[in-house]
Amino acid sequence: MKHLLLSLLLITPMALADFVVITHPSGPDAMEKDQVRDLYIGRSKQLPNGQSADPIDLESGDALREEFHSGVTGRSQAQLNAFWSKQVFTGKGQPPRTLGSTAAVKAAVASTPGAVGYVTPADVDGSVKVVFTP
Amino acid sequence: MAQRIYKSTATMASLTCLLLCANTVNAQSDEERLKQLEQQVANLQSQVSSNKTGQDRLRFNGFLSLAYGVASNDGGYAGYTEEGTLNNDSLFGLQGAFTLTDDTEVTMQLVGRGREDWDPAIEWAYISHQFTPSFKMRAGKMRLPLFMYSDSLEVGYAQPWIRPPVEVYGAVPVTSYTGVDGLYDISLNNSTLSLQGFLGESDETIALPGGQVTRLAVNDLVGGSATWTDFIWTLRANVAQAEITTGGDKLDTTFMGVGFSYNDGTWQVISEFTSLEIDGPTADTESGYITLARTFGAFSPYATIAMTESTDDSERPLSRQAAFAALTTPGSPFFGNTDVLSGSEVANLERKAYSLGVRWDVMSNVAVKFDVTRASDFGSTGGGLDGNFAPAIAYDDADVYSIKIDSAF
Repeated sequence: MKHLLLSLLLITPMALADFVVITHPSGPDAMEKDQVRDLYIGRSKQLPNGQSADPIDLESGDALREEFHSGVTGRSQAQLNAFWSKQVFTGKGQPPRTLGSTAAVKAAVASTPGAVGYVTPADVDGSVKVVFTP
Repeated sequence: MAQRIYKSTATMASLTCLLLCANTVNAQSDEERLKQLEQQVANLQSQVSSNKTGQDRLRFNGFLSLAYGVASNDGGYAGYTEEGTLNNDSLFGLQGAFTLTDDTEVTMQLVGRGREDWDPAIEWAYISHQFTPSFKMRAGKMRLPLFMYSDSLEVGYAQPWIRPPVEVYGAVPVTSYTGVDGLYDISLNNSTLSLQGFLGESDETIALPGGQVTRLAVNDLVGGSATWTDFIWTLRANVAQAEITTGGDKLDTTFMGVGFSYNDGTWQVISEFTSLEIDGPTADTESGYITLARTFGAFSPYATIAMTESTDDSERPLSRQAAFAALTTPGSPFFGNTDVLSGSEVANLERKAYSLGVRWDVMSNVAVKFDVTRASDFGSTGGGLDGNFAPAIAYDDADVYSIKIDSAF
């Protein structure tokens, strides 16, 4: 029983894994939540420092993706899909490109000026810059 | 020449560099080699990103809706009768977008509808050019932007309802036009104001109430819209005017609409009010609706109240009986001419509709919807029901039960 409680305590913080928003080292020093949101809903195509933005999402079904969107865009995955189908079929834009893992996101962000992604705090190293922490 | 090739392809450059590096390794400092390696990486990266652009040049998307509906009577509200049908609201769409340059794109959308024997028709076909980051122009065949959901009119997956409220969206039988538009986006502090101006024309066969079809030409169409949104709230206002021709008369027509929506991810409110004024005895209408929806996980139940009414009934003093007598009596100047109906009290309109429904997001990109709509409160009119375009009003109300699968891919 004690072990069970202990492991529950350990599991809970992991299930609520945080995300941080990262950019290429040449990106801005910090971003507001609404600035990040606007990139991921296609309303803004530039970073605050003027770089042309290349936002990268995780693939649908990823727990971190759901957490990022409930925290930043405030939309569930279904609502997000409905939103993008409206944008796509009215010629207003395409959803951000997706990658399969936070490691792939970090590698793409580290090598692409203007790229923006979100990863877990544990993924962060010197190759990328953290610009937003919820 | 050698110099040119050397520079022309990144791969060649990298290879040559590798050879050079290998041959002259002793003569080079670590720093120089590091620089060359960095250059190689950058070259490879630029190749990768240019390949990606190549693949993105042509994009295909599609949507599919399958709907079944049945009504409590044969009045024909929203296209449904007691018999029940799969064809009325079922459709598919295929869209291709071809990027010509970074700023220029050609978009084409084919829609096949069950009620038109699934024959695909071109709904969108336009070329667009982004002149500046905030100004875009389009030319070709496009949706007539009269309503908040005009652009995604047939993309059920993008909508909370089983169908856009018939009272408002059914008021204008023309849904697309051929012409040009300009879209100007103004970024405000944390919100966007989008201005749109358009002009063009259209000429198509439309279905009239009562089951007739007619040719409707829309000329000198000009209009504009302003939409402000901060992603949670959206406010919209628009106007349009045109000269329409059915049969022989050219009639000046003015359309106005206002709408708002609120969506915080849990609650959603959508409302629109529209007014259509047509010269002469053809009915002028005012219509509106309000929808309230709430999301509980995968389920989003909604309730809608909608209304529509004609506002110029005094311009149509001819009674129902007299109009049908004129239509069906041999020798009458209006014998066989259904125009006499649209100029009589048969065209008077009053109706309210109450809808309860739910959108269930079964899986990614597939939603199932259920809806019950009651149309009633017709006053002394036929409520716009096809079945009431008769010498006597047969239906005082109608209930429509529908189920629909909406998908986008």
